[in-house]
Amino acid sequence: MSNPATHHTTFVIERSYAAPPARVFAAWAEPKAKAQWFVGPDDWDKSNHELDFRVGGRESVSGGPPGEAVHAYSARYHDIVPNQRIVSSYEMHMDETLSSVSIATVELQPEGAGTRLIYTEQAVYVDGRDGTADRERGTRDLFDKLDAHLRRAGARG
Amino acid sequence: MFQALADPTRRAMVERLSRGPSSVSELAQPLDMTLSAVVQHLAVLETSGLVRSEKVGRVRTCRVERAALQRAGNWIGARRESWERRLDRLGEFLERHEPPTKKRSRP
Repeated sequence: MSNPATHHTTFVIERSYAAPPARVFAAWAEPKAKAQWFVGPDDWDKSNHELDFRVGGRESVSGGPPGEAVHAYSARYHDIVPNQRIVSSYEMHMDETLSSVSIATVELQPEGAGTRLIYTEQAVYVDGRDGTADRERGTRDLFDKLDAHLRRAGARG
Repeated sequence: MFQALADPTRRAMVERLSRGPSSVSELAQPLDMTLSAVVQHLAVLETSGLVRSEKVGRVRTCRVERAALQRAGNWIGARRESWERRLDRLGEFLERHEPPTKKRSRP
């Protein structure tokens, strides 16, 4: 009944910023800058954010809402093209259990005086023995269908 | 709940029901399986809380439980949402740290 399950998903998020690519890139590359926006206001412990921004370098942070599982993010940088592209892979653990492994690609494109940022994540969610991964996993088509449904239902999308 | 949605047949049933209530036989019609197999899938969906059914006379009508479906959507989109919040915070960060507008001469 509780056979290990894996689920694959890909999602893309795009944003436009008024700042030029060099400034957007710096916000990813400089540890002090990144800690200010990457780490959530409430549920992560900002003090333990570590970033070694270079190919082969690592990044980690952990935390979580009080009384809930500790979410731990652990990344490694694979490809860095200044002002243009950052490719990393990261693991998420819930307490001691592996929850997902992802490839995260950040692409920066000049857009007028500003920047178009395209974030693409390809993830495999693995079924934790305690079922915690269940909460986050989903297939792409399912997500698309539910997303479409929720939009129709007028929910925040 | 995700166990319930892991199956493509059950996803198809939920998708069909998201368009409106349906009888069991209507639900079974596009599916290439026996009515009893459909009833079994329906039972899994009902146990998960995603679908409710009630029998009126001889017809059992199924409907999707919107609140449960919304929770499923929230869970599936949790990772995406956390990145959306992050990238919004990046935008706020960039605005906060706007450098003074000094025009640099360009080569």
